[in-house]
Amino acid sequence: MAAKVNARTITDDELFFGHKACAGCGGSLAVRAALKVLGPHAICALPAGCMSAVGFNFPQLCFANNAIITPFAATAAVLSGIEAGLRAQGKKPEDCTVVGFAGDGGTADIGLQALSGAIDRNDDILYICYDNEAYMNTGIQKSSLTPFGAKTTTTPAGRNAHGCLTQKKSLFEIVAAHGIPYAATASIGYLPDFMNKVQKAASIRGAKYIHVIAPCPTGWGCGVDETVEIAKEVVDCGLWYLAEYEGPQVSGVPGGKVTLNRDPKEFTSVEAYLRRQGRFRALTDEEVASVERGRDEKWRYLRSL
Amino acid sequence: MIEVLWHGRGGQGAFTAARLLGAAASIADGAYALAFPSFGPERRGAPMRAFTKISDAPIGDRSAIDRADYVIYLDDTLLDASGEAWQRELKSGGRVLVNSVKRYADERIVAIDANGLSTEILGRAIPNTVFLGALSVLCESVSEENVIEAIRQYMPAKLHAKNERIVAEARERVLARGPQGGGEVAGAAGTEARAAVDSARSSEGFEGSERFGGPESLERSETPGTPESPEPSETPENVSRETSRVADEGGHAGASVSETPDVMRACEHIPVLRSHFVAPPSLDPAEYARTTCYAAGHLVAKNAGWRNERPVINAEACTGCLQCYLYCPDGTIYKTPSAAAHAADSRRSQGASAPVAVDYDFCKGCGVCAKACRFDAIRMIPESEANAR
Amino acid sequence: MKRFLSGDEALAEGVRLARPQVISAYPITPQTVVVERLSEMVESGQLEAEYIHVESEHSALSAAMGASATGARTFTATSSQGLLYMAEVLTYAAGGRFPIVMMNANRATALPWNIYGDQRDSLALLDHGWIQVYAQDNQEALDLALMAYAIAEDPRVSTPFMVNLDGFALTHTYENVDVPEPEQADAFLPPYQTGNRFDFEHPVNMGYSAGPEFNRYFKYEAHRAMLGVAEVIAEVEQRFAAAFGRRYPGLIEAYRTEDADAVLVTLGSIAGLARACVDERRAAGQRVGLVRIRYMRPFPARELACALAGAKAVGVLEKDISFGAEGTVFTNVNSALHQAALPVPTLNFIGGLGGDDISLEQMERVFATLEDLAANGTAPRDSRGDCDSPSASAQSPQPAQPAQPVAPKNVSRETSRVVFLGVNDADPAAQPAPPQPNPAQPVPPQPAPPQPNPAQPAPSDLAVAEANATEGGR
Repeated sequence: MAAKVNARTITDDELFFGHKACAGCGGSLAVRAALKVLGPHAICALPAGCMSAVGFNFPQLCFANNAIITPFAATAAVLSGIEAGLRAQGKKPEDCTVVGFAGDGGTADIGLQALSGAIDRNDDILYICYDNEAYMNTGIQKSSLTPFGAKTTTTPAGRNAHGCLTQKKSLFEIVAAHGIPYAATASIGYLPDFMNKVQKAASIRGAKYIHVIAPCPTGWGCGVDETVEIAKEVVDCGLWYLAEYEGPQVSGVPGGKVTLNRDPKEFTSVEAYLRRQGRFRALTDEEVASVERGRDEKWRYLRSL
Repeated sequence: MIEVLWHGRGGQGAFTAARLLGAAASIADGAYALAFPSFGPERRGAPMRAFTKISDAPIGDRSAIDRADYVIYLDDTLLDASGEAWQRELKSGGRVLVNSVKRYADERIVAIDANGLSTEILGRAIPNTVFLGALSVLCESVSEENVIEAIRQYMPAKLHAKNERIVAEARERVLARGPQGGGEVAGAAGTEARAAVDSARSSEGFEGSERFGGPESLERSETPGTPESPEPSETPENVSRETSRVADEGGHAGASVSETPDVMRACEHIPVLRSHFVAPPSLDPAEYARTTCYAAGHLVAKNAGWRNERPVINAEACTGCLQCYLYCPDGTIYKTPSAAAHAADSRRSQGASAPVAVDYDFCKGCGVCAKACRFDAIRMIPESEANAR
Repeated sequence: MKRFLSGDEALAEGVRLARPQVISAYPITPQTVVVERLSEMVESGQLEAEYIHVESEHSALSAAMGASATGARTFTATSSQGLLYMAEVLTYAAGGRFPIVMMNANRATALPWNIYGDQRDSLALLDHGWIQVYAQDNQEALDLALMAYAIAEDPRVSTPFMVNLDGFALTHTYENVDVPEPEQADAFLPPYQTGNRFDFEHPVNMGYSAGPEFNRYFKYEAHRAMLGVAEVIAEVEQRFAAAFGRRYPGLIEAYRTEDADAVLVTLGSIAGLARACVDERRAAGQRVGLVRIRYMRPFPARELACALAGAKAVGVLEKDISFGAEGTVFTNVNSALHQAALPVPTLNFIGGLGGDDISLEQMERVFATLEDLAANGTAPRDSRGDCDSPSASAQSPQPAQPAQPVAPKNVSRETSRVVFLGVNDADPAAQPAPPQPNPAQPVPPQPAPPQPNPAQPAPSDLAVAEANATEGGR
């Protein structure tokens, strides 16, 4: 295992640069940081979504490494094809990671079938889901990773409903259930943790999945300078968690092994986290309390793994 | 036909204003209007345009406005000082309206302190409806009565009274300047343009958008999104136009980019890996359009025009911890050659250069770096202050 | 080497000889055999390729696209709903100019759903930027697999290539096929070389978006490349003839059209029956001919105009209908005739839908109708409606009103130029009257008992005979 990565050890090259993402965009930080770990031989595939829309619009092409756009549903399938193509030709450099960056909708909704197929085949790819908890590219619509209570343009907060009525899909567990060699959750608020997971994933052969929370100031209703802070807070208050799953192939444990990288003795306030975001404005105190109960149940489950 | 071209930043309400103006101008029988935003990949904070066309006959032409009777700037950092851009966009006899506390020598420019006025009444700088009031004085096709009616029909009820006051006040200030009204600042001079900066950056500004039930006159469709939602456009022509305007005015965006397809040359300024172009790739459509395969990292436009504030690094306070470098979403903070020396120099002698620097060509001014800095070595300052230096 | 192979197997042999490096496919009847044979070839080492078992057609083509973007030669295969499911990706592959070769088994589209052949699947996708060729027999299927790569990968073309085989009529029908030796094939088809791929020395971005100012150039270049494909096809077919001794005729194949009064235009395997019918009618003294369209894209407008220049009646027989209009091939053929200013009357015959057999008797009737039309002029065109034809207006005594359009109110929506074989092609008196419900005695809705068709096994028989059929639609 290579030495831990940090701000000093990653490449000075900016591999994702000059893009048109909103100021303070969390997704662009996740892509930038991951590519700085993976280096210039990474090949990226991005479906139609924020990062491709802001990242390569001819002639402004913001990936300095090889990159391709994919059909919305097909991130994982295109990754498989790239990897197979390189392997078939004997052209894959040792340090080449075939990596996909897809949003929450592109992963948990329309792209889930292709992702499941690629994991099932155990193709040697890294799939990174940057989760900003809604379809932000099209102007904030609910995805299956939108949390309860979040106001989106398709889950408006009105008299009858206070935003999204469903719970966030547990994608990490769904992916882990495939017995994937490596899966992890991360947050751009804890960037070194994320980068080290990216590095670890790159060192493992087979399918890898990293789910990184990447706040969207525009869609979450927070200041553009608060992106990182709020990504930290969602972990600290327990509504997101930093964990790793190592499949039987990697851990040697039948059924695989789950590690909680951060298991806080005490959480910060869920209410403070929710109340600072415009999207949760309509939640009642009771609903906030239910979110907190949901958190506690989730952690009971996580700690039991 | 009266054509109105609105310039703003995503989030300032340019399209809302364009829409309300169109609504107001077409209330009367036999009056017609179109209002539409420009579409493009840029996101919140990026310069964008919106258009209103007003006529006494149905309007079939839905294309963007190149030359307008009124060119309106909701943000004076978008108005280029050389005048090249706005003069190209202005019909003869037309007027430029700009949200500014500055004075402009050219009589065709009407400066209105719309940030000051809206801050006074709304409590924050949402400049768009000020210009509806101004137009109701300047433009015969737009009556005060119809502007008020449009506000009542198309804005949330709780905003009616305040915005009606804004319109009335704006009218007074424009009328007070006489019918010509050019060159001078209408309204209370000296109100800080800072208010606009705050509203664009803060969560309050965000909450001002209708999407989250905010009270102000911003419009949901102005913020994020690609084709589905109106967006500032990134057409190569107007990239160059907009870039050059910003560059000339602010003096911070480097050389302006020329107009024609030869904008498609790589910026000379772009750091690191962009330098792998030995020769710029072909710009001939018969070459580049044969595949969708083109040199990676090819950039033709900078992002400096998005910014109202910029981070400034205090070399003495900087410890070289690189947290700002690490967390910058745009990768615009880079290690300087003195980084190693700086790290070694524990005393950080006065006048030493900082171990990191900001690429102001691409910094969007989000302020994540300032928050990431644990040593208060990064301060966000308004662009106007930076330019004044 | 001569072998007795189904169309699927013949095509698989052709693919083996083309040495694709990546194959990604999803099993779907009736192309299933192709992917099964290819899997066996990969397993046995006969074919050195990465085989990706994708979970959908959408992923099949997406993976092929990813592989092609690395510069690998790729193959996929599909059919019917599967082709429609990957329709989105067709435009990506075409716009990205990835020379992927795909076999499509032409098959009916839902609803009502069945697994038998017709051409509604691929003809619905003519606008998606792929070269489309329709094979007539199994030898052509094999040969097309080789020629497809040579054409698609030509730097002037760089466009994906769809080889269409009629479902069951070709895919599951066995006949003698000459299988070339690998050395021959290698000499004919060198490895794929391209600049349209990832490059670690000089990285590229691929398949990006492009705004309105640029988008049109990409589309224009794709169009221009497609127009140039005819020339490349001619070159490749010439090389192919030199290498393998089999000569193919380009975008269309004209048969006895030189002096023909009535010409039938069709595509795919039904051309075999039509050819036999032409010979029969010729023997009976009728001057009839046949044009088999091989390539629907690029469309052989010029070739058709030349072949049909002397015809007095033209019929188009296709296994497709665009509801509310006419057969899509018919639309295309009429456009070519119009562009060439050939005022020949045309008729559209729709047959073979959902695997419906087209019998020799039906084919004879088709030719008889065309012969009538050739002899009697423009009756079908006139019967389209009561309106004056444009030419009649031009001759009208009031030339002062040239702006007056053809009176649209008189144009009948009932287009009698479209004839559904087995539905409205026969003498109306011979048609059984549709069952009339007795108003006094309501009858529960019940489908009429199926008429046994001796020319075709009942679906259940075929399902038993054809194990793959039990897999159903996918």
